[in-house]
Amino acid sequence: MSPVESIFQEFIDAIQTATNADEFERVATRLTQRLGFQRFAYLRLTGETPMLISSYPKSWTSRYFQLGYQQLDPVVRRARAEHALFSWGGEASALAGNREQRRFFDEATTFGIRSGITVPIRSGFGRMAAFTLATGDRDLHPELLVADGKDLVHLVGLHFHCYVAARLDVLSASKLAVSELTQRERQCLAWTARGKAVVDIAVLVQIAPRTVVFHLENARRKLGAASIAQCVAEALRRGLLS
Amino acid sequence: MHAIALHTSQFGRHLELLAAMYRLRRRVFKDRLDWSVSVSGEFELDVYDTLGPTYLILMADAGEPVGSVRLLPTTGPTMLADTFPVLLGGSPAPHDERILESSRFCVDTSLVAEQAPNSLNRATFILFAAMMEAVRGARADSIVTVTDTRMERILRRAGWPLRRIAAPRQVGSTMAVAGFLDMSEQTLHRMYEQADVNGPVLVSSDLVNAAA
Repeated sequence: MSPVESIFQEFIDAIQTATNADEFERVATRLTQRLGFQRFAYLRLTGETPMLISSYPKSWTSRYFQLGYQQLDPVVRRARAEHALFSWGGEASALAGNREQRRFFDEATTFGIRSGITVPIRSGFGRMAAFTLATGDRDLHPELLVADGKDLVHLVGLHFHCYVAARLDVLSASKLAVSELTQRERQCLAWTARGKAVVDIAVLVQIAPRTVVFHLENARRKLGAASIAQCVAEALRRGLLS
Repeated sequence: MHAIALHTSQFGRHLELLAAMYRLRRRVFKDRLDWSVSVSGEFELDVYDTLGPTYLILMADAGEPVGSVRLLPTTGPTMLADTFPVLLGGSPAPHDERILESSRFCVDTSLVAEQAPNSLNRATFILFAAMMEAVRGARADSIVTVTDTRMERILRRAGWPLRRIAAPRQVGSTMAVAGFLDMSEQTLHRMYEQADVNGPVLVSSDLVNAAA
């Protein structure tokens, strides 16, 4: 096996045994070192609560979320817009972006995060995640580290994403299961799918408009959707409304 | 044309082939069919790929992958039980060492069709034959699958009819249906004849793991 191949096999063998966030962190930390980087971060943005598994300093990550940096972070913004792996940081981004973003990179650097590469990941219905390998080493060029292994890093990021979803999502089973929607929730969604407004549904189902909103919101949360429109699409796709 | 069986324990050694298969899947399931699947760059993967799958990868004579299918044991989570229980029509989902679940079946029509008349059919038959060989290799005797009525017709014409579990239902834009595909030597040999091959099409034999 080539070095890249054995790194991937080692990663796959290890991640299959991971059952909690700490173990996922260990698996990715090992991979990070094998590829010549110092730190990794897996960030998933789904609905309101972001999910992070990383070996970044805790002082940095808690500050990051406290200040809502995920809105500002140029890496996250870029990961939302692009599909292919990209590198960031170093000289180039010290000059690019607005003043706020430059200050953000300066601050990250003080925590040892100077440059890196990021794999954007798209799930269904606008959900996104990013898998990042980073370094604080000024002389290291992230792009060169993975010159032979872009496919490898993409596959690692995507596998990490799917393994986390399969093993850690509390909703994983129910996210997939059909019976989780109550009859009322299905009714309200089905009418919404047919173009009825909340006030119409209230009349049709004979409940208060406020209660219709309550059921729709519950359904939206259960299906992990960001909006009612997305929730309807997801429910239709899973055949929940037939 | 032949098929290669690839189990999780062999991913590293066949990284390029594996990458090519995930690329093929992205083209078919995301770009063409627009399914709600996870993609990164050129690749497609979902949570069921984390459950120790065996992939059967159909190789064109020129050496590039032109089709694939994923096999999972039904002793763990399955697409039928955990994503599409609505297709069971109230029947219990199969959980049995002797039953494998197949999913993500695809043959890249644009790659195959240009090669020779009838080559699309032939590619499909060879992948079907590879599935039967994999079932036999795993000491199982049938496959359970979630598919659509279009594929059901192809299977029937190929002499490998789907034994329905329940009536088809509209799921998204397709008429989805779940059922069993039973393995028999007779069916396999008929498939060989239709595919115009003399014998086994599946290379590598680590398939006992698929049912483990």
